[in-house]
Amino acid sequence: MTDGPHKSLPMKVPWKRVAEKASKEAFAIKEVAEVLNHALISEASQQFLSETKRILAANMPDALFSMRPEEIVHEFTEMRTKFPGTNFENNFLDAILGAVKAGEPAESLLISAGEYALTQEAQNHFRGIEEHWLRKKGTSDTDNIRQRLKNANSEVDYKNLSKIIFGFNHSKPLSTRPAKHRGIDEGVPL
Amino acid sequence: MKTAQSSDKMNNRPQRDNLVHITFDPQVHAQFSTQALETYAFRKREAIVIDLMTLVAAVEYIDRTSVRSTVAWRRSLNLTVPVYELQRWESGLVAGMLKDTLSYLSGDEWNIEFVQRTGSPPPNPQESLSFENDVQSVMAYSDGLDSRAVSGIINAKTPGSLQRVRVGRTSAGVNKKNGRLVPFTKVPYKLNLAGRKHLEPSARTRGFKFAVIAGIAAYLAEVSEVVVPESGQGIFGPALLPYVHAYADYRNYPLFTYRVQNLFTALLDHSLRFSFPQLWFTKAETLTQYFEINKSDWWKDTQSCWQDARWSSFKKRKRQCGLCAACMFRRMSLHAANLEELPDRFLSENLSASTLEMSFPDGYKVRNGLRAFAIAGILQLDHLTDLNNNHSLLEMQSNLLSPVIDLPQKEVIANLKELLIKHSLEWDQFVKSQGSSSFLNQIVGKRI
Repeated sequence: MTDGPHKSLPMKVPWKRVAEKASKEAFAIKEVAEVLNHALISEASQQFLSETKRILAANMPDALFSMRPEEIVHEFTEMRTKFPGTNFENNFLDAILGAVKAGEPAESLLISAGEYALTQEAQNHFRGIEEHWLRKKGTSDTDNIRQRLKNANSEVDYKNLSKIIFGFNHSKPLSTRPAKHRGIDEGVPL
Repeated sequence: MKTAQSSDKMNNRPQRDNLVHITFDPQVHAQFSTQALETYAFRKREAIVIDLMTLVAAVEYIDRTSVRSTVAWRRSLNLTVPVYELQRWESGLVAGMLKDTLSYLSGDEWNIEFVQRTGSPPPNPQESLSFENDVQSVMAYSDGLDSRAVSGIINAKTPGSLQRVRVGRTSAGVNKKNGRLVPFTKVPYKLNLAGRKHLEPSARTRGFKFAVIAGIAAYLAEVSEVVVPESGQGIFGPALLPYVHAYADYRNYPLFTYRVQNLFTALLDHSLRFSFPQLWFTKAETLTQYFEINKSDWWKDTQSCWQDARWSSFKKRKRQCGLCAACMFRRMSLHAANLEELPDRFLSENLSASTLEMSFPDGYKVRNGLRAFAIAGILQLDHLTDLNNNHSLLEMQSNLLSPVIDLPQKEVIANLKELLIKHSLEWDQFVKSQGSSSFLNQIVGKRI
């Protein structure tokens, strides 16, 4: 007997939690979405986020677009060589370079690029989870986990998540760990 | 001034920080073939061209010999390359473009230092090789389904206008025709990888090798156009469907070849243009287009499987595995093109079998891991059918591609959606044709 395919899932711990909760009917979809939020937040490296904010000077409204758009494009193009090899960062840079050229304001630029990169990151991991489940558990269980991941995904507010990772949503602190539900009243949701 | 030093470390497995340093020695780490170089004997084969070939070999060497960590894709690759034309390589523009091109393609951090190469380059040919016809474009030619079909289509329209540049592991076999040397029949170097137990299987820099070797051929032939024979699914699928931490595969993607174009302009002042004649066609449509021109069995002896004979033989005869992504793509495309391939060309002969194990011939011992391999291959084609629901991705990629392929964004997205619909139909029909009890249908049946 094993603890379930999530144990051998070749992904980081936050994604193993997503797979575990998505695979077990005992967890409500909202609980899957909660761990999914945290897994997605964990994908964004703080060094990368700081660098993007520095380039856009997003925390200094007076300095917005103090650099010319060509300079911003140049700096973000260089970022790809400094932060290569992760799909989150790659997608983020694709999105931000496309939007800088379109002349979007800095804050909404960051938020929409983050939203795009997070959305694609979720899909990349869902594909990986599906493949792993097919190997380990067969078709029926995979159909189930695929559907539950899809349902959980529709509960995620990607725009808000993007605001959180860039520090634009001050009402919610950034946390990479999901809240623990320990109270007896917090049993299986009905 | 720094000069090249030989580094013969045989173990470049990255340390915990994924950092590798190699000082490439063209005499030690590779063998440049005089015979193969002769097929590149054009008037413009200057020292900078030899430098470019050396760079391609060095990039391939460090990529193949530096095994990635299982948990992180990115490596930090520090490469020292000896070149004759040091000043041109040290230009900030060239260095920046090279770094950008390689980082985008392989997903690694590249730091390349150029040092002065001692000795003299092979002498610049006084006279050029000549072409039989009026060459207008070149193609990196692997002798696979796509390259045979697309070169055939182009030659039917404008006979003799396309020059093939052989890029596969083997040479074209024919170096001379009518007593004259045929240009570009072999990659001019071979890496010395003997004794290495572990090679990095992702080998993403193959894209750089093929694009640059074809670009060199275009430069020497004094033409601009480099034809990429890949069909739509092979261009978009690997680039837009990465899995978990495996970095997207851009080797045939226009956003990569655009970077190679810019590199050639900066380094050689040569205007390259990569063209994608089959970008909006499925592989099946490409095969059909050529089959309408040539009804012979031109496609039957091609290979799509990337497994070598050790893993893919039965009764001492090499077969294609029949299950990996490349084999499944081939089988689906031939089915959609109404071309029937004999089952015994594959190890997994019968896709209608109810279990994967039963798809193999009696007496074949199915090795561990084959099921995982098959699932990955099947899902790659299956997940491509989902892309039409990923509107933000299609919107974003069409926005980025539009200026590069010189098409309005609306047209790019419409073409891309149509391509994906065609792929979905081909895949759907192929899976259904195997019967409802087939293992293939069991894996993807509920999704269709």
